[in-house]
Amino acid sequence: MRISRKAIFAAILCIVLVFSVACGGGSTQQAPAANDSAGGSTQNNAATSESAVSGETINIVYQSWNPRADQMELVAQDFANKYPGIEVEYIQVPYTDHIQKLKIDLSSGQGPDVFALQTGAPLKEFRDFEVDLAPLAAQTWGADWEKIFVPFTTELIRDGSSYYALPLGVGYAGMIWADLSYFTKYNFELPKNLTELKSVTQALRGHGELYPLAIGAKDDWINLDMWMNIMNDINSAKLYSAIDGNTPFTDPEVVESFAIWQSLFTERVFQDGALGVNMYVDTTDLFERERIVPMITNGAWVINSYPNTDPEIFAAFNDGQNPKTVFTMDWNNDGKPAPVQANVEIAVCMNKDSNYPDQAWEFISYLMFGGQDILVNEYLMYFPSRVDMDYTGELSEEGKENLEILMDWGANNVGGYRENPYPELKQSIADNLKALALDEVTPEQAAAAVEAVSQSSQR
Amino acid sequence: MQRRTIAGYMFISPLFLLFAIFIIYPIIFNIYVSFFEWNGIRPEMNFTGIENYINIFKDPVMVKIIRNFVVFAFFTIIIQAFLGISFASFFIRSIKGSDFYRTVFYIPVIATPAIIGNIFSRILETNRGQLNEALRAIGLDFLAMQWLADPKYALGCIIAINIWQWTGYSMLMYYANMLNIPSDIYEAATVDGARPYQQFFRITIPLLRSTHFTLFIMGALGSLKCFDLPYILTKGGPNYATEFFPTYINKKSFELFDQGGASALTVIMLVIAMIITLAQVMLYTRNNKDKELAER
Repeated sequence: MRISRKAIFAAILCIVLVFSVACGGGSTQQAPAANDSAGGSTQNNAATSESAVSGETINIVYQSWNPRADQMELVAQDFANKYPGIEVEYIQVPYTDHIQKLKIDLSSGQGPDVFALQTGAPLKEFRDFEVDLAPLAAQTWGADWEKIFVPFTTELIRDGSSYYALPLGVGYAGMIWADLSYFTKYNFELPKNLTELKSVTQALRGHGELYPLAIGAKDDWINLDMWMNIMNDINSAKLYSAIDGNTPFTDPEVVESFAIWQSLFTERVFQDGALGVNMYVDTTDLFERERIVPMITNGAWVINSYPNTDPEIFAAFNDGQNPKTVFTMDWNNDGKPAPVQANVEIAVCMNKDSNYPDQAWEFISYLMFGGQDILVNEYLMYFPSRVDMDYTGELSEEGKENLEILMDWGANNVGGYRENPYPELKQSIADNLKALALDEVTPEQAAAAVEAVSQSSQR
Repeated sequence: MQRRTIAGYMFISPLFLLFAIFIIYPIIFNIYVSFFEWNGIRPEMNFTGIENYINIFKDPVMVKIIRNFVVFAFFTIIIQAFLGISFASFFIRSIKGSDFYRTVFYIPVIATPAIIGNIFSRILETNRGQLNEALRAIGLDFLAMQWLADPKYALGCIIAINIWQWTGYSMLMYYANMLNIPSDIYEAATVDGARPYQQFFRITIPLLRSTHFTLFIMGALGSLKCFDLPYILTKGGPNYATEFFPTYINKKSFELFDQGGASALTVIMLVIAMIITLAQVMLYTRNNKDKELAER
């Protein structure tokens, strides 16, 4: 049978069509329009300068897991006012999705111009896409620019003489927030040490309270925060020495920390079924909205509930019916409350493949100053990472008191860093904390298992 | 003849090209990556041979993953098939409102697993979940468990929710194929004195063999790919009690930055999927031979 020309033409057309469809999605040569939101476009810098000169607006993309999009609007607006000609498109993605998206977008050349990371492993893993910001910082703020920031924040980020990120905000973890209305109602004192904590939680259970001390132990991060706090209380130096591989996890003090952690589950200090719920928002809602939790484990960031724009949360923290306080526990009954762990809340990085490095740097340098002023003073998203900065926003008397407690800890009672930079070791500790919580292993077995991973971890 | 052949190849080439780009290439690249130490981000990779595979077989979590897969597949396939065929036999009769009930039973199939997961995480919560509240309300406090927090029950809960979601699909498959069974077979059986249960076991079930096979294969592959429900309900926990291949691949790739290990695990998963598919092909072939014999 003879094949008609029409059929052959149709087949060729199909091939061309498929090629164009298959190749079209992967183009890295998109020329952005004036308000193009494609952060990964690869137009060259010459074109950038050209568009800047011609008065066109340049659009840069910032991706992070916080703040919320509505909170960032104010920052973006303020930036637009101060830097006409540059517009910031903010993409907010939950943390886990943020890492997944970054991994794919950056590898394919479609990443945002500016992105946020946590210090430790993530900052290290994305190194090939990060720009060393130290020369830019020195050029903008002078040779002693490092003095602008709280010393531990630069220590956490510094890599030799390079800085692949700058610190936006500081946070503290390892504390307990309490709803004092329960303590007034039952005439209890706030527990100061482990013995008192066990006694108070049993008494609360006796009164029918289902969540004497709430935790969303399905999330590894809160388990790690609390265990590190226990270990910080016992021996801070040994904790970080063990993480760095210089002290074995089988050390008696580390084993003691595992035993204390286990007892919080086996002796029902935490609520039943704690391993089946997340912190956000399964557990936090019970404290911040429903007001049915006498005590909850969480970090310093809960302070931003005082100026929160959500009316329900705002009321729970400001209407006076459920006054709150924050405290740390004396886990080993030695008379001293545990120090907190500190971290850089957001490490802001610049994509080395950004088409608009000048504009991206303008935005990063703005974020450290004007942006941070808004995020701290309007929303209390973080504690300031700049030494010259104080909180000037308005808070209720109770909010101010709690803020003072947290600021005091930040200045005088930090045990060490919150971050564990070794992913495998971190996962092993998290796994063993869950095994301990389930009473599937003894503290000694957990310590031995973590030590085995610690020895094989690359540092 | 030769021109016909060329034209034929030209017609299938677009499809083949798409297949090569979107199916073949990712598989080959994944196999390639599985021999490297790579965080999935850096441009350079370090060749490590079969080390990623050795690490996987040494990993104690693998035992739990394989056990979870087998248990999940066994119970979901059997129970879903049983419930599916039961409901199909019920609704195939001319019962008032059967169309409505059939639709209701099918609704969970089209629901998003993320929403289902969120709803059930609230229902199964230990302290204020509706299930435990209901149990306590009727005096069965001793049955109120830590459903998602206790490794003894967590996998069972995910199996139960999966069955709830997919029974409607099994029912529809059986229902559609029951309609294809000629009614004269039943009439002849009735004339021969066969009772309804005998007709069900001797006629309906054997003639639905291809549906059984399809549901078995789809169930097995679905169990292998199980991600949404365990990820939302338990994140693979507690302590890996509900970990599946995809949830662990996700953890290795995005939390541990071990793309080489994740790829090796994906290759193992692919091999298992191929074995299941091979079983499917063999079962279908055997089934077709039976049909040929029956038609003679």
